[in-house]
Amino acid sequence: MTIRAITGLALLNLSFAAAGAALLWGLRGWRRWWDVARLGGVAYLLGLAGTVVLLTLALTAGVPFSGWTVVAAPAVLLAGGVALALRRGHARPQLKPRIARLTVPAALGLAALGVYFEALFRSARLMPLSEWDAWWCWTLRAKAIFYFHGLDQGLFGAEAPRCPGYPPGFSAVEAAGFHAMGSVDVVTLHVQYWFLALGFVGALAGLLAPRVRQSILLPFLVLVLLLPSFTSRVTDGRADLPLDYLVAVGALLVLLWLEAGRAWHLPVATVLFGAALLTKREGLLLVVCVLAAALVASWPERRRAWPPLLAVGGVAVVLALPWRLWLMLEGRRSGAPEGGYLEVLEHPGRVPASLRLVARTLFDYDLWLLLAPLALVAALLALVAGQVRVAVYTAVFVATSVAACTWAISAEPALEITQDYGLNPVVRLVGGPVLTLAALTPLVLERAWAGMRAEPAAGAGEASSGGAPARRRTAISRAIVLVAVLGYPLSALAGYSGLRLPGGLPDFPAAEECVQAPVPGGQVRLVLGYVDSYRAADDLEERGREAGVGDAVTGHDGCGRLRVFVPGVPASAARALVARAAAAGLHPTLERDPAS
Amino acid sequence: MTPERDPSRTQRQGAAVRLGVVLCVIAALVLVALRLDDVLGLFDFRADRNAALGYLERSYGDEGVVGDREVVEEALARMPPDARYRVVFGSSFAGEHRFTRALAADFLRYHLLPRRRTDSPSAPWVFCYGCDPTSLPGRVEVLYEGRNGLLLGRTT
Repeated sequence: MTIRAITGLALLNLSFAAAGAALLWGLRGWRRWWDVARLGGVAYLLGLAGTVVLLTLALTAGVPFSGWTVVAAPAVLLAGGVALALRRGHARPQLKPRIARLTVPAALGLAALGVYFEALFRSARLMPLSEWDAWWCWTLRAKAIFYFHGLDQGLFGAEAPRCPGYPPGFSAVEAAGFHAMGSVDVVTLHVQYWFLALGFVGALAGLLAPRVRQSILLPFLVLVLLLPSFTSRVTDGRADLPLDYLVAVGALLVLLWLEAGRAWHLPVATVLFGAALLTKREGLLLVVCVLAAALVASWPERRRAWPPLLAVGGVAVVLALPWRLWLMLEGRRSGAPEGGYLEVLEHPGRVPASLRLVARTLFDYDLWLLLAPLALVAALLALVAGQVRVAVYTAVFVATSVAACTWAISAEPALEITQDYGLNPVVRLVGGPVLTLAALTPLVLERAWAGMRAEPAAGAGEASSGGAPARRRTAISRAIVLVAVLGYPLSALAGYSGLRLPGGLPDFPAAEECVQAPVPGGQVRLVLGYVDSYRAADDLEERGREAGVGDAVTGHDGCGRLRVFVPGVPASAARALVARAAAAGLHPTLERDPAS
Repeated sequence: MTPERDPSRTQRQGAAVRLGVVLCVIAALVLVALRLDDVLGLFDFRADRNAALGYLERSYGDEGVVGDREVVEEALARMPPDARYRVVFGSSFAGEHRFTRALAADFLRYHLLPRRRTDSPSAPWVFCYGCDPTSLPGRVEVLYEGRNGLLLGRTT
């Protein structure tokens, strides 16, 4: 809840981005700093995913989890990336400015993104952790990692009461957040999810901007953030959306590799998929769907494409292997659903109902607006335009993910056939495919627009340039973004009622808000101090008695501390008591006595 | 030998595809226009609501039907970090539904970490939901009586 906590979390996320940027330098090289900025979202997700993999490896190997581990994991990735870049002889990026031309409609889209993330930050930073699936599973395990410095048998092993068999990767990120914030601040922890959402959108924008024209890209980038099921869960403290981010960006990288064959796309996708496998059990399902779609879409060139694609799946599984081994050896679990992978065969009658539920959820306007239908229409348009690969990739991904979600629901007889999220995870499960489709759709539409050309026309991601009018339009566009991005916080400071924003500086609640200032002439209480335990309170009471300030009592202050105080002190006697207590080495203060 | 494509047909097809793309983008734009203000309003509402919360409400979230923030505060102040406790449910536990027992126990588990929950009757600390402390093994000193019939006790 403090600036220190927010700063710590920001530094942690910056370390993820730095580690990812170094890895990308090693994998692809950086020509310009502008490229580093453009692919900052990809770098962030790559660094985060690499950290998830390393922290899970350390946890399963029994390395004590501490602040040093949190610093070491991204540092190792950073060093690895730099070493790879030097070994490959990659030069340092140049400072040549190359800012893309910005059209006015695109500027409106960017302005919407900017205001969205400002409003989301305001909403997240003081949010209580009330989502039960978050506190009884993910954050509970994060606290256990933080307090017990490792994988506690009681919460991760055979007798784990909640989310049994679920990997520790994301809880490890939250535990790292506690170290970075300097305390188990489960309120500011919501800001971690803000960084993740920002990284996700940044990654999509960075990957798609050079390939998709702004008029297609920006509406879809904004749309994904406005999906009702997304806005209701974006900072709720559960691991579903972080898993979806990893899979969606990984799926886009795989498609880009199929399209352009850039060598760095697949290694990055592999690390993202490895982290997805270490985030939730469903990660395996979604990664299989992506790879199945890629294998089918690359059938005509299978000799060239299949070995690397299969290697992606293989290496991702290897990255998750230490956790699987720990689970089998220490947790005595396989990580499979409760009834095993073939439980669905025992309940064939559930399959049609599960399929209907999954299909209904995928096309539910109240959850995802029209995203799935738009993705399928885009695939159809691409197919008609002769862009078979992207169309098949999208269509097969939809088909396999519907089948996978149906299997997951059918295989758990305890799940009722309902969208009620307390009784069936179908909405969160289908969220993975939907977000993946959101990542793919702009590219699929661009391919459909471009028609028979394999690559979009030069500068598809930029407005045409040239001449004074173009420069004027760009200046107007930048002004639009600037006004929107500065306008929101300034409106919040000024208290603009049109946006329902309060006035004044942001509030950072602290325990001091429970201190009650004395009223002139009124009765006061002599506060000897604030402590955390009754044992410390007893000591303080004893010291007060020895100092001769009277009998102190202890009570909760309402802000998580115990207040030790002498009640009912007349204002006239207060100064003398303060002096007496101070002379005995205490640090007394005077507060209003509500009983007076 | 591949059959030649009719150029006018290809052109018509291309125009139809481009029209389809434009319609998809327009649909996305309309949805954005319809949703953006609502979503920003929702975030602003949440921000104001969160800012208005007190310390306990913000720290403990929704206590729902199972918890009692004050009893957790009391337990945190009394129980040392390495304490072991158990949770007992009595017959007069009110408002029970399918998940109540699991949620009640988990609420305490989550907030009291690193203190450990155990099922052992020898645990020195006990949380008792709707039960009679005299029916528990050993002598239980009641330290705090919360809402929902929740007691914090210590076995002596």
